[in-house]
Amino acid sequence: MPNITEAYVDSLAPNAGAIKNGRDLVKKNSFPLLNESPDGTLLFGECKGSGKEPYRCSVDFVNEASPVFRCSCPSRQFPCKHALGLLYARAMGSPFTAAAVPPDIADKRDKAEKREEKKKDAAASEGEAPAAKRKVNKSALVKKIASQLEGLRLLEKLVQQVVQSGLGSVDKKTVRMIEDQAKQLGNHYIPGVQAKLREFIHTMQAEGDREAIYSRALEQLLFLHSLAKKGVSYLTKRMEDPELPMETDSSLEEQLGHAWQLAELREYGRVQPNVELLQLSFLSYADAARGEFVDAGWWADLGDGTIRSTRHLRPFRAARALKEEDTVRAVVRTEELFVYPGEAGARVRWESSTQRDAHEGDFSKVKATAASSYADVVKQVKNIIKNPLADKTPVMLVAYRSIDETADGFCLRDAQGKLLPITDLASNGRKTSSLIALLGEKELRDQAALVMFSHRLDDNRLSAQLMSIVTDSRIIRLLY
Amino acid sequence: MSIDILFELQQETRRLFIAGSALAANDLRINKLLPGLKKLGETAPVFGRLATAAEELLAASREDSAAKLLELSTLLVAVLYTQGKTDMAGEPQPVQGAGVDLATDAPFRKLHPFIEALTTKGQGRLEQIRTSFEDGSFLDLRALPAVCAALEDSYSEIADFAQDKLVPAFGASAVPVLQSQLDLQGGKADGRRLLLLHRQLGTSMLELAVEGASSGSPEVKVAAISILGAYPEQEPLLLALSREKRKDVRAAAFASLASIGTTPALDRLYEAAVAKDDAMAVEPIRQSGSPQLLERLIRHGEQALSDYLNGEAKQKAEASEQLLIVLQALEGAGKQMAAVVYPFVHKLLSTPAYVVPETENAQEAAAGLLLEMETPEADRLAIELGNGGLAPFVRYGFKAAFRRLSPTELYELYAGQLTGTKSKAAKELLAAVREVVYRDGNDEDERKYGEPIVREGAWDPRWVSLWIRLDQPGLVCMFALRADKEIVSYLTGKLREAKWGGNQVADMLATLFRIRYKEAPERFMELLERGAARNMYYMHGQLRRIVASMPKSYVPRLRAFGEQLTYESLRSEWMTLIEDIEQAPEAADEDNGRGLWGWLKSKMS
Repeated sequence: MPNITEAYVDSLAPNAGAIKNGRDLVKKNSFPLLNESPDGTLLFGECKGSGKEPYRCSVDFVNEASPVFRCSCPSRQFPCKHALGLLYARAMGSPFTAAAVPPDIADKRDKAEKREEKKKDAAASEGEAPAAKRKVNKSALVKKIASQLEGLRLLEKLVQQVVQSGLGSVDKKTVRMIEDQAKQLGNHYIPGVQAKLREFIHTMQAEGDREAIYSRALEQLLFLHSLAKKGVSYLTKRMEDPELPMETDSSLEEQLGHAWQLAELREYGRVQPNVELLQLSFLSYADAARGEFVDAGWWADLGDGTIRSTRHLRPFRAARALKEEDTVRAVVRTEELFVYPGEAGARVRWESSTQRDAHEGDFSKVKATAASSYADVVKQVKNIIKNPLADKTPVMLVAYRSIDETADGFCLRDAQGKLLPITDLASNGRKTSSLIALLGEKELRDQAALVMFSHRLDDNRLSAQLMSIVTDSRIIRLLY
Repeated sequence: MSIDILFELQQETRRLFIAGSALAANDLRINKLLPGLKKLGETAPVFGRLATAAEELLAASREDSAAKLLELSTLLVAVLYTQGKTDMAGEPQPVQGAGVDLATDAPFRKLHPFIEALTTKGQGRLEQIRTSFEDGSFLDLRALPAVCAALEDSYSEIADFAQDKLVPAFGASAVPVLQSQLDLQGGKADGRRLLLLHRQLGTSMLELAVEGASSGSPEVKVAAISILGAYPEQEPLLLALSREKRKDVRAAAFASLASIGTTPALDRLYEAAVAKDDAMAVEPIRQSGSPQLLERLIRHGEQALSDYLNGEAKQKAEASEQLLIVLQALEGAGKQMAAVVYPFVHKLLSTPAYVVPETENAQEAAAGLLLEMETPEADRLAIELGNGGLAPFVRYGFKAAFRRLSPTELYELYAGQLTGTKSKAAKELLAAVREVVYRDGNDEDERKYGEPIVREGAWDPRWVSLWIRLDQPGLVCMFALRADKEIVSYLTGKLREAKWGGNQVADMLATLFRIRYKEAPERFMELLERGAARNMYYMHGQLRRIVASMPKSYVPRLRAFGEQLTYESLRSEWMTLIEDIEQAPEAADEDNGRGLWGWLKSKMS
């Protein structure tokens, strides 16, 4: 059984509410019965509910990496507060008495084991005959692409229409018309494009400083225009030759709305074996235009220092049933890291993982990989953001000699004396520059910082927001 | 500069995006930029491409204009993205950090809701803040600026919580943030900051407090002055501040003068107390409790009394006010200074020319002082005064008598005075009886779930019959200790015509159960079945207790009654309670419900 700490249980909980409810159960003494199996792989107990019968809950650690939660309560949240409460009771040191594994759980364990064996057998027999390449129904694909192209042309026309009459003339009626068009795009297998168009609608509906809204809308229009153009040329090529592989050098497919499946990523050889990742920063926010919560993480590959990002999307409608991601302080190890197609800071994902505590060596390893010359970093960033479809806020790890202050505000200084202005991005929600003055001498000199770049077109300035500081002994998370 | 021309072009394309590309044909301003672009194009091809794109836009038809504008702009923006400036004005200096040593380990799911609660508006924020405080996750570097800024929260309970709990928990770490946020000309929050800084830094921030007290905004002044109260050497400044125009500043200065307690400070308080229309010094004097000052005030009071007795109408009114202030300042010091206070009060209350309706407030304050002393002679005086026939003294007299006389003596002295309940004296007396029972009744259960009951043996048993004669159901309930025939027939008689929700109906029922009247359950049931379902609104503690006193055999009738209840929430509560009674262990039922109540109570908590 892993060492059960409160932080560990926190990390299992699907959301903050579940953490509180689980803890409250222990505080209110709602567990009249707490048991563990003699071999220590199973915790089980009874928890008082509102009904006459208590809920019987258990947590099974037969497979340490993925504990199994069971409970007789009808909650759809998983794991439910009763199972979490059971673990909190353990973490907070409540006494557990030894008892035999209840028969129903023994049954379930047997069945799970058999299932596992069957799977293994199947895998073994498959291993003999190499997995057949997934078959693609060509005529269906061509039909789909045709529909996508039609959607993109619709978009192109719409964008031109707006540009021709001008952003200044966009009124409620026009917005409604664009909304109708966005709805229509839903029939054309390009959800990514649809979401981008919704973002534009969202911008135009916003209240406040008109000039700032126009600036944002202008950038979005240019993006939509480029997306339609690139998308059309790419899809036209694929329509002519459906055998062509999917685009994997850029995130174009994802931007059109393709949801990459692990099997596809494997097929395109986008899997890295045995990777260890350390999270450097985390942020969760609501994306109103897309109608989903986004849990975003930024990680360093402990092997080569590559900065990776993760994004978990939780549509508003399903948010209650999905796990809210959280800050991860441990090092995550995975046997297979799936890397999404894209440019710098590519999105990654993993199916199964184990965790270990991060130690000083990990931090210094990450720090050592930080880019040391701002001239190079800035060049790299400019090269990324000049691409019309690129992520305009790339994240990088940069080393600094010191954090300085001028009349203009804070900046980072590299070993050659080059400066990098520090700013706060409104879209990240929190100001991190206000924390700089609180840091110590040690943190302010010769460390590395994870920063998010941004370029403001209005005054033509490139600057960066501090997200975290990496020293040889710890990570100071300034954002989250 | 080549960048400038790009920038200008960007401004012009932006303008066209807003106005509409339909207006782009032969646009004058873009036309003006063309030669410059072309010239630059000779050396850098990208300018050439921009010039071509711009020319195409100028020549395009209405229909094509949008596509051309998009193309030009896409290219232009891509170029601009490669030209971002990173220079800084001024000479950069390394930041001198405050070196706050705090972790940044709180996970997002804990930190985010906390910071949101501190920095936004809306409901439920205090609850969230408390939760974060309890689990300790608030102690994070990133929360610190928001925590200190929460001192400004318009919801004052959050600002209070930040001041009392959150900021102190950060200890010295909060100092740099508090210092950077502090504005001596600011509002109440800056007063809070000053107090917190003093808490951390102590004497070393005295200079700042002095500055705040002398030149800060009024709110900051008040806070700064309260800090100075711990430093006797600040006496001159405090004396000066006690003459400020603003009332709240003066009040704060008086309080601080009282706490430093030096002779000039006490002199100033005395001066303020005896000065006309200044009752503000009363509270600080009471706080300081300085015997010398109080004695001086008594001497002043004696002078005021003689002024009152000999003066003209105007002088009289002034003197009477002064006497009231003296008496108020003495409040709380009666016991400790009985030796000097008693003669003064005695003189005051035994001067017939002073004991007139105009000075009633002062008389009551004086009578209160008598009770405070707890000496036999003071109590005797109070009883005497009470029997003198002046209405307000009866109350004090009765309280003193309760302390001094045996139950029988007490009854005999006062029962005779209660021939009716209408006179002012009788009303005062009944109020006094209730007050004494409230203070003296000692059953915790009763206090929590209903009216108090008298202590057995502390009262003459004849009282209850008197209350019945005077038809005082409330007092009967308080004094009833046993199921005597007289009590039972009085209460059941009252209940016969009563309706649920009527005056003291629940008290009377509870009393019947308490004195173990056998038919109490039946009386309760009758009352319920007499249409109580329509005017029963919620389940209060007393009702819960009465229901819990019902034997199990009444469960079917109680349930039938519950079905008729109008209010959904009450109905469900009622039914749960009935279920609980049904499930109660048999043994609990034996003791006529008393045991069951204990069982239910343990279940509730």
